[in-house]
Amino acid sequence: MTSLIKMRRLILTALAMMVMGCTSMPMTFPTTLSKDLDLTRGREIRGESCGFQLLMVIPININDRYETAYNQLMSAAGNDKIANLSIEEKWFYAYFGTGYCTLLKATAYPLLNTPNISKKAIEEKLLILKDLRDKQLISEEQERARRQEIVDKL
Amino acid sequence: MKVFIILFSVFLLSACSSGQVVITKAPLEKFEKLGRTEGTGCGTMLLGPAYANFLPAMLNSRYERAYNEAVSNVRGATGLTDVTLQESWYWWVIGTTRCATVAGEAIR
Repeated sequence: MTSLIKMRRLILTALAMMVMGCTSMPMTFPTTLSKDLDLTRGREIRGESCGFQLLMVIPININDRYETAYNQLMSAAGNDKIANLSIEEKWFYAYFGTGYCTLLKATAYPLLNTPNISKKAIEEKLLILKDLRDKQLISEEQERARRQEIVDKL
Repeated sequence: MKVFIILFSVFLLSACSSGQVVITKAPLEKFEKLGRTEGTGCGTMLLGPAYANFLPAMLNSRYERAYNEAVSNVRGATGLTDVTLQESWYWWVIGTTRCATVAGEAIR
């Protein structure tokens, strides 16, 4: 009788576990027509994230790995538009569980008539300006004027 | 014991990749929208318990199948735009099944 109760509990637990699972956040990639893009300035971007399924049922960064990879990709794209999107899934076995990695690759194209100045280049120019000002090689007014010129180019 | 250690080491290094699955193509000059579509591809990692969970059954091709299903669901479609990707998984004692869903606007 006791074993029958144990068996029933086991079956109920197994059934409950069977419906256990999760769904990742949906990632949407809007499409832009080529006539709006500067196709001469495409650059490859990527976003990657890994998670681990511990003991088959305990997800560690599993459900949000898509979101992380997506955010990395979008962050790399900045204001540019995405095309040529591809996805690659990798997994590896690690005895206590399985690791899963998601790699998103795409080409980022700037919109037509977007100035060809990268964020990094702007930051570098501003740092140089600050340095010149700190060394008192330029006046505050000159620094302000140069900053304005950089901003106007954007 | 030696065989077990060798096998264990091999499995520890075992891994697999789906390969690159193209979801959206190069920027298009123009296209005709044919309606929303969706495709799902599922695969399972067998065989439980966890230490024996390294046998993929249709796992690596799930995105490719989901994409192909989404495109083939609409007659005349050659690709997708405004694509949405999503994954779900569930555990069923001796394995974990993962399903990839590719949705988007079918185009030609």
